[in-house]
Amino acid sequence: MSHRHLNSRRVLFALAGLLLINSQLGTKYATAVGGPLAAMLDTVLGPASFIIGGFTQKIRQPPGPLRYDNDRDLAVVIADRDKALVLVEELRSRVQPLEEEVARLKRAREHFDYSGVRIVDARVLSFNDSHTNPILTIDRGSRDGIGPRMSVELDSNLVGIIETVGPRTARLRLLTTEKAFRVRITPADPDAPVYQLEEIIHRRPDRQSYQLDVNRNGPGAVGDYAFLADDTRVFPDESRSRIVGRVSKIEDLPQDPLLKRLVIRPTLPLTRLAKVSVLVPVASDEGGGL
Amino acid sequence: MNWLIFGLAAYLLIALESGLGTLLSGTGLAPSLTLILMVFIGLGGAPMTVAWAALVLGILVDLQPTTGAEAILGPAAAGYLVGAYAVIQLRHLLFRDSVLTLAIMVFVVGLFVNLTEVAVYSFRGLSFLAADPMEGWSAFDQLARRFVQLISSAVFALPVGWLLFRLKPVWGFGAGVRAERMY
Repeated sequence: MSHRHLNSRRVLFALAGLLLINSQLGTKYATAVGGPLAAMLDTVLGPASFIIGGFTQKIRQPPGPLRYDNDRDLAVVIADRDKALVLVEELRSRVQPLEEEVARLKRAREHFDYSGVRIVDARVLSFNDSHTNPILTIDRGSRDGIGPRMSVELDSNLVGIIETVGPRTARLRLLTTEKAFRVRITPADPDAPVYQLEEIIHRRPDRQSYQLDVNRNGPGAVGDYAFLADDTRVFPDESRSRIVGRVSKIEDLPQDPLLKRLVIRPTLPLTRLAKVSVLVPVASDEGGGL
Repeated sequence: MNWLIFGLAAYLLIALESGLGTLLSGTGLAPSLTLILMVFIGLGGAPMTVAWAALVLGILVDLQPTTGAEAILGPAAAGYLVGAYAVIQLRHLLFRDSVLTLAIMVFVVGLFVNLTEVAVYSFRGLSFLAADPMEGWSAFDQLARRFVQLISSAVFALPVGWLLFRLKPVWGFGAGVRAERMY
């Protein structure tokens, strides 16, 4: 065995040993080397990830092809067209309340507090599919004034918080990573009796939704909104009163018939976002200003 | 081995892997293209070259963590090194120039890689070590998810491997590789 080969083997084993020791250190020390290197890698991978990520986002939901045989009878085609028109009308009637709700939410957005923050729009470069801790990488970093623990949202819906930051990229931890936090539940239906239920919601085993057990005869209905409470200690102050999710269903609790369980799901498809907005506090952003 | 080609291939495959992660999000089917690359090099490279390439790829995987937002160097690097050792030991028994061999080896070697990686992460939860336990960590859950991902990787190894084998001449794997041993 040559001298060079022997040295190479020694260096390899020493490096492997160091890495193994590093993997068993506390998170603060274990990430001391990995953090900056990861930020560098994100920056280097940025252009390619952006191109491939954008391409995959485009092909993810391809429009369905219209298949129609050319040899069909005209009467059948006309009958099919009439059926389609009925379906279109039905869809329109379903879309109308949704459009009204969107308009109401847009009006409501004016009431969200954006004072003292600068909104930095970012594109999602990649999504790391992990059951325990899904991560989004975005194309904005410390050069854009982004720092750790900043709030990330989209159209006033909370997405998560910034975890690590590189010069041109940042990784954010999704909202659903948090086990429990305090929310304020309010009715979505403007005609419903006004109430505000402020409680701590707990993450369900599916890690994609939250639950809250309330009095069976108490408030809480499907469609109700869950806003982040003001005194949350989990998320930064800028994310107060942002939409966390909506009550998607109500479950019975056989072991306790006096209670019902509200299941709250995030309003956004968190793992399929193409863009997000980072709320940069103006005080921490030297070049800031609304 | 031509390390420039290795760098280019690693860059493209890692970028593609993150893109596929976006495409297949939520399905758990996002393949590990770096594992395919490691096994491909393992089938053709000199033992020490394979070990170094595996270590580099393992570190790159560690820098793109799937278990937490913070990059902890070590678990995947150790896993890939164990995987490299496994592929070097097993490759003498195989017909190396077949895409099917690559796909099967991706699955087999992936078992070693993932078992090692999950074990290293799980050790962090032991009370007598300084490390903090991983939040929400469940070794069984991880193994189940990684097993599904391995099947996906083995399937993806067929087209990716076909492409890699077509480009094999530019990799510059030496002719005297087969006689060498790592230990």
